[in-house]
This record gives sequence, C-alpha cells and structure tokens, in this order.
Amino acid sequence: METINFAITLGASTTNNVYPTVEILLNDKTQVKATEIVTSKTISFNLDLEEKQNYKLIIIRGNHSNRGQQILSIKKLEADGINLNKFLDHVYCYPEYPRQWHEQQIKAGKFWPDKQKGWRDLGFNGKWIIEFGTPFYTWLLKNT
Amino acid sequence: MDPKKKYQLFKKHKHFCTAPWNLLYVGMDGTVKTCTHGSTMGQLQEHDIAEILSNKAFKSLRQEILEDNITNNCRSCLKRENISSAGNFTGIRNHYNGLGVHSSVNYTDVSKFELSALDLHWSSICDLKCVTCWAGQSSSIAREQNKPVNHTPTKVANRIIDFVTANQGGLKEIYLSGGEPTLIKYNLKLLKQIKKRPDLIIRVNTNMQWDQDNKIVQEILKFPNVLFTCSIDGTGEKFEYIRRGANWNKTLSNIKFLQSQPNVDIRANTVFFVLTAQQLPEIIDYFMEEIGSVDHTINPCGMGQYHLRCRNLSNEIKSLVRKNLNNTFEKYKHNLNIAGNLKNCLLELDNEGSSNEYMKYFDDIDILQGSDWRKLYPELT
Repeated sequence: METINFAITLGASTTNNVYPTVEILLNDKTQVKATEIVTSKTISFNLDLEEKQNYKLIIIRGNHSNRGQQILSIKKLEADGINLNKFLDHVYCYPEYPRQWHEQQIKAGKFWPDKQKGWRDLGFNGKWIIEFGTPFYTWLLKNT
Repeated sequence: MDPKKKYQLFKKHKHFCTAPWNLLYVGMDGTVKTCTHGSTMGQLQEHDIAEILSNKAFKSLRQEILEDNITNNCRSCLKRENISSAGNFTGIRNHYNGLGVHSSVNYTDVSKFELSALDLHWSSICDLKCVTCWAGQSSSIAREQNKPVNHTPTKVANRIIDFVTANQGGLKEIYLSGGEPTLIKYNLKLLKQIKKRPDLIIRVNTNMQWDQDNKIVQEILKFPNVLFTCSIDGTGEKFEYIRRGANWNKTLSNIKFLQSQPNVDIRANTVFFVLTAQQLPEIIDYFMEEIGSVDHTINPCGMGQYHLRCRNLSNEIKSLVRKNLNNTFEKYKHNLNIAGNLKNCLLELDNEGSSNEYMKYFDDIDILQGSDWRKLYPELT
C-alpha cells in the first residue's frame, strides 16, 4: 500500500453565473464529492493505492446547463508535489456533446470523436480519465 | 529498490547515470571502462569480470554518483551535454538512464551490478584505414605503421561471452563496435548464444563494407530489433578518399539491403573534421531525407588527430561552414541529438586554429596510396 497526494488546480469561467462542478473518482469510488468551481480552486486529496494495480482517476465535470458558455480547465496536475502537466497531453477527455448541437455538427459534416486527447479545457459536461499503475513511482518513471 | 527513491535519483539528481550499475564496456584489449567516455576500471586479462564490476574504483564512483557529484570519470560526458544549447539535449547518460528505468538493480547499493547494456569494442580488426582513425582502433593502420594490433585475447573473450550469456536476462542493448564488428569473430560466438528477444536491441556501428552473406551480419539480422549505424564521411569519391579502402557503391548496395530488412533501422554517423565540414549538411540531409535514417550523430575529431579539427580551417571557410551549419541546426532543432551535435560543431569552429599540418598529413597519405586530395578538395589547399 502506498499513499500519494494529488492536487488538481481547476479554473472556471461562465457567462451566466452558473459554475461547473467537479467530482473525482478512483475507479468507481468517489474520492472528492461534486464541488462547484468558482473561478479557480485547487482540490487536494490522498489516494491509498494497492501494489501492482492499474487505476483510473476520473474527473467528472458537470453542471453545464447547455445555456450560455461555461469552460472548465485543468490548470495544474500534481502528485506528491511533482508537476504532471506534460502528462496531461496524453490524457483522454470524454465530452458529452449536447445532443442537438452534436446532431447539427454531424449534419454540417463535422465529426467530433468520442474522446479527445490532450484537451485541458472542456466547454461541455464530460470527464477526464487519467490511467496509471502501481508502484506509482515506477509508473511515473516509465511514463513521464 | 524503493520506487520513490529510484524516481528521485533519475529525475531529481542532476548527474545521475546508471551506466556503472548496468553497462559492461569492453575496450580493444579487454579493458573494462564505465562507458565510452569513462575511465578504465580494470583489466580482464588480470581480473574476473565480477571482481572488476564490484572493485573499489566502481564502488567509489557509484557512491559519488549517488551523492550527485561530478566525478573525473563523468566530467567530459557531462561537459558535452552542458555546453550544448540545444534544449534538453542530454547525451549518452540519458540513453543509459532510459534503459535503467527497466532495471531491477538497487541503485543505492554501490556493490551491485546488473547487466542491462553491453558496449563491445573488443578488437581493432578493421579492413579500412580511415584518415580520421589511428593504429589503436584499426588493425589495417596498425599493420601499415608496423604497430601492434589491439585484440582481446581469446581466453578473455570467452570469459566475457560466458558472463554475458549467463546474465542475459535483463539485457536490453548490445552495442557492437570496433574495429569493424562484422569482422570480429567473437561477435558471432556471442550472438549465437543470445536469445532473439524483441525487447533487446542490437546496435551495430559499421563501416558498411561487409558482404551480404557475412555470418555475423546474418546472425545480427536474426534479432527482431536491430539498429545499424553507418559510418559515412562523404559521398562518392570523397567517401572513398576519407574511408581508405572503402567502396561507395558497396555502401549504397548494403544500405539498400538493410532497407529491405523489416527488423532494421538505419542511422548514420559522420566525423566533423576538415574534409567533412563543408559537406556535412548535405550528408545529414541525404541520410535523413533520402535513406530514411532515424538519426544522425556527428562525432568530434579525436583519436589523436587534432590537426584535422575544423578549428584549423581558414577563416573564410569557417565562416561559410558556420553559416551552413546554422541553417542545418535550424532545420533539425527538434532532433535533440542532431541539434546538440551541430551545436558542438559550431563551438569547435569558434576555436583559434593552431596548425595547417593537415595538408602534410594528406600529402603523406597520397604518397602512400597514389591519391590526390588536393584535386578533391581544391578549396583547402
């Protein structure tokens, strides 16, 4: 068992005073309950990780009303104080495109894939999935 | 070892290098060094391999590295990476650290060694007499000059082969150099005993003059992951002048042969000296763009041939070379190896020239072999 401290700094902007929320899960277990991000916030939490496992750290972004513009950005990702921003370029984001908008885009011949690599800004609801393994520092050494 | 400690060594220490824990470097006469830039740590004619790899010199060096000190052993390698301004260019240390990431050795234990990489130069047998080379590294030059040929004794070579065969489980890279590795029989004996694993890369530094049915080449090609580094110091007649005894058409034919092998990548290396300075950008472009080379290394002129260094070119030619190299640097600035090497070439040009002895050197070669360097390089005379 190893304990790793994660810190995720998020930024938000909105045109209608409705701010995005963020919930953080490790695999299917909630680590941080849905919390509103007003302008900017750093969420810090510890993860207890078992040996030789693969994990998914899931950042769920919600509260987009499909009215007005609302952007949520990952500004910084840290593990035990180590900056992992470069690794975010390899992380997939899974946007939930608004149905009506998505259909219009398809009709206009614009294809939007189910997952987007390296997106740090998300204007829809959706989630980021950060996959990693343990021992965490061995994974970190091999992947960053 | 503790993964966090390992991460800190690799990522937080400024001078950490895994080579003393993972690399077996064997020189021409059976000397063991830490790496190509490092010092001699023992002589295999006098001591066992295991004994050398855990001797006082190795332990002391590992301890210094753990303390993040710059040692005399590592100074020239670290200097090379520090004087370059090509971004994150980190030289050979980074190469070995990349292999060390996968090693299970405990780097905090200064007495430990676990074989991950092998750098074999164990003979100077070579069929060429390149103008940048010397008797110590080419048996053909040694014979021409009536000097002894450097060659690891068979008894010692067999001990090395036994050691590597027994410890091949964690091996990630075998680097065969020389001399000319396709002429060194020990390589065949060794490679026959090495499992053909996809996670093991065979790197070969060759003069490209081998026959395609050469047994060592054929054995190398049985490995799933092979990288041939072709020594190229020019094209056509200039290539043949510099690499005395070589044939350009044979080189091209062998390059085509290697291009047809699905398990082979090709790269090239060129020595930066008075005869290559002007053609260097063209050579790099030819290999990178037409041959499909994965990389290109430009080596400084060494082996005692200091009169051949580019600092000795005329100011007029230096200025022209500098301009061309700056353009080439710009073109390859995202290739850290090429960019770093070019930066070092540019730094060489900044030195004051001290001699035009290279003219007499080439005149003497012309007398030996009936060639005419002045006709090939009129601008240098």
